[in-house]
Amino acid sequence: MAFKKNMSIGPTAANKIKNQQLSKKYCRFKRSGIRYIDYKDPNFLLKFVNEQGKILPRRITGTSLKYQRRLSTAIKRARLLGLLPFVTDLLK
Amino acid sequence: MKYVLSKKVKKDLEVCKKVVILRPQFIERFLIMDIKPKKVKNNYETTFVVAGDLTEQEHKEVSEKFLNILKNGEADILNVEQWGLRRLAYPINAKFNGYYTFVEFNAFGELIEKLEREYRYDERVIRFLTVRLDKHAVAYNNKRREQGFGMRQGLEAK
Repeated sequence: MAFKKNMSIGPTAANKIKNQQLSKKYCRFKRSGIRYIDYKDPNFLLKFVNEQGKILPRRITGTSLKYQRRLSTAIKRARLLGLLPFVTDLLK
Repeated sequence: MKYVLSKKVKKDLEVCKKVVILRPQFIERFLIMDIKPKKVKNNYETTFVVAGDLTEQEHKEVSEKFLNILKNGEADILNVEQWGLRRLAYPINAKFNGYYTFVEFNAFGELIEKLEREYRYDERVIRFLTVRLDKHAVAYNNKRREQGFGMRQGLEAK
């Protein structure tokens, strides 16, 4: 147990926390002043989707709740029109 | 919502103002039962996908048909974009390509029902989507129209 405790206080863990503090996540819609997310622009929406075409969670992209909601409707609309896939492999 | 006072109420109001010294807003609050909502046109946009195995002439016929439906329904068409033949992200009805048409218009809400019913009747239309726009979307669309069809240019480059 003692060994494990030492590991957690070790230099690598501290570095990780420091790095996180330096590059804090932010909502890119708030920062760049985008009010409306367009479903007709699939190339832009690709940034918020993983390789399988799933919507990325907020905790990874850092978007605020308000814009995550609008983003998810935009992505779902794009899927309906056949601009984005529902499921795939190797999208990127 | 904008409201219009009926003639009867207007007369009553004028009489009230003369007889009783009251603020006009105060009287209006009591007459709210008589106020009718005015019909207002909303902002909409639709995109529909026509099956890609048709010829371009047939595609033109289909898009003209739906534009005529809009025109006959007292809609003000602001913008029509033909995105041309696009590859679908996944096969729809065993088809891999589709012609995309995008229309922005202002219309009364009842027209949308008619339009979507026509979409469903027509077998050549694979997919359609009608969206009512809020103020941010309208601002975005105005900007997009001024800049030209940025998305379409991107598609042609592909």
